[in-house]
Amino acid sequence: MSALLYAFLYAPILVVIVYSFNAARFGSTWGGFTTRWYGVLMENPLAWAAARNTLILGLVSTGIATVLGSLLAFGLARFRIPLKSFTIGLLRVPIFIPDIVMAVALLMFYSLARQWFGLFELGLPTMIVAHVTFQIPFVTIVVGARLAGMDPSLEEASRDLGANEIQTFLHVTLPLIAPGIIAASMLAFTLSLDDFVVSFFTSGPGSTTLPILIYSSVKRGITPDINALSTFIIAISMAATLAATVLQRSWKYRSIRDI
Amino acid sequence: MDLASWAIEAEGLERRYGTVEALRQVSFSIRKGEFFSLLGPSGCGKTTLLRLIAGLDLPDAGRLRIDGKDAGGIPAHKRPVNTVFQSYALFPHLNIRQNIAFGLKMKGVPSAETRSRVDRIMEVVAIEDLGDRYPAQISGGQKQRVALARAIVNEPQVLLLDEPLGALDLKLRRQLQDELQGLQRRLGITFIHVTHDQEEALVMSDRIAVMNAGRIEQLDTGRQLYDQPRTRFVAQFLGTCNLISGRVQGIGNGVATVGTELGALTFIHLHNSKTLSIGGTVHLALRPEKLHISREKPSGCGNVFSGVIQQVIYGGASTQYQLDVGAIRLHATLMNNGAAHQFLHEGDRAYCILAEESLVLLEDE
Repeated sequence: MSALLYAFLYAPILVVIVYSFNAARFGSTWGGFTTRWYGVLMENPLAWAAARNTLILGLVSTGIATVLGSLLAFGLARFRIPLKSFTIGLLRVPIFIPDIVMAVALLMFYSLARQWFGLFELGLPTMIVAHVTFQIPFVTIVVGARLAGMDPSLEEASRDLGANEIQTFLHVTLPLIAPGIIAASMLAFTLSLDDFVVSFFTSGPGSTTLPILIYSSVKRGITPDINALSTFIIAISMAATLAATVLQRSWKYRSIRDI
Repeated sequence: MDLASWAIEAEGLERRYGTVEALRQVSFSIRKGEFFSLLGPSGCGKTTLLRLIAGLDLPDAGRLRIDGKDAGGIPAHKRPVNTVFQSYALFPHLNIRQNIAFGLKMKGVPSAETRSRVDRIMEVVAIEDLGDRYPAQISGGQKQRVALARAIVNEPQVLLLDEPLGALDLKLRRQLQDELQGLQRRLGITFIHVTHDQEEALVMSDRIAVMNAGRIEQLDTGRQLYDQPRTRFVAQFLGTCNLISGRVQGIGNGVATVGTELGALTFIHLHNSKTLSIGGTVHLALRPEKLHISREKPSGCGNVFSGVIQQVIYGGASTQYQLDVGAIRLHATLMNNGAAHQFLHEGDRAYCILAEESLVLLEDE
């Protein structure tokens, strides 16, 4: 049963990977093994530009969302806030709002802002802001869970031993929630990497990302180089996930140098 | 005593959590170098009091002075006080050396001095070879020592211990009790020790504050608390106690007579204790080991009553008896030193003697 389920989950991905090595240009017939399409891909300047945009978008938005989302989680966990549970509940709204609604809302917001203030010309910066908005709730929830699971007496012990609030945060809280922050940033990066809808609506000229490139190419029919590109993205995602796992296991997070 | 000899002075401390009054008008003073225990059942406010002293919680009312200085505006990290937490609260991401050095690092003590102080303290608590381990890799008893070392390496004026031995097994506990006591004598640091274990408090402390429902019921030496409890709560919380209630029938020269369910009882009543009035209700306490039992009716003494032995529990060094006199059940503990009571059995008739100097008048209404 579970084997069937796994087959159902992974068969489409396998098909994409297998067909990226198919020598036949069209259709579903097998024309022999080739790595030619990867070569074609490498020589495609549009693919390179899209890859660059995707990477910039993913890294910058993840960086911003990780910092802001983690600080928000810390603030929500440690300080008195009016209507706290309502505020925390509000965080979940962007998670269950359909992407398309979110995308249209952001597009409207940008066009209004452009009309009134002349700001937010569509392009990579608007896409980064858009990605940050849907990444923050995920980061805050993951980091918040880690904070909630932390023994509160550890921070008290730190203060008791003469550490002020900033020292306590840097030497105790931060190292202890670091695995949560790393997990959250990996999640945020993956979300950015495979986002199509929000990117599509908030992109401008010259800010095409890999998912948008794939979409526009597929409209002209599925070609083997698109399969190769997809395989490439799968490889990057898997490498990122694997790196995160290894990093979390070997993480010895030391905040004080050995004495 | 002059001001400089008090480590802690508390005056009218209050703390409320919502509708729960955790501390109600708590006032006391602790001498420098004293081993002081806060003793009481869980929820009596002893841990809350400790947290107020540490600065981890703030009082709603009242004043607190540490080493003669008002602690009101001093945050936890600036108080000359360190805590050994109940859960130890060792930093899981730091090894044992780094844990112990934490306080010195935060205060910016030079690393050479830090190193030698950490070395010295690890030797004192006998954990020299644990330095490179992480808290998850050591035992409960070792964690306790690390927590202690991490606190005292800072040379605090007052060390707060929140049930530090609570999670350890009995044998280790006895050993660490001795060590703690020895350490306190050597270092001369004031120890404030929270516990719910009355024996631990009696064995270790110079003075004990018995707490109940957010108040200090009585603050005294262990001996005073045991021999002269002032309230029913104290009498029953420390050891076991026979409690007898009655109405005052007569007040004479240094003695008073009370009509109880046993019959008329006389007890020593001194001028400095609670004032009595004829007809008023009083409560008397009598420790089981001060109640005498004999088969023959003793002559020449008062407060003798006849009863039936209900239960005999042989405990090696001593034997516990339960004796019913009318509707009152009395507990007696007698040493097995060859005296005649050893031949008493369940169902036997026996006489009990409640010596008038052993009856303690309680202040409860």
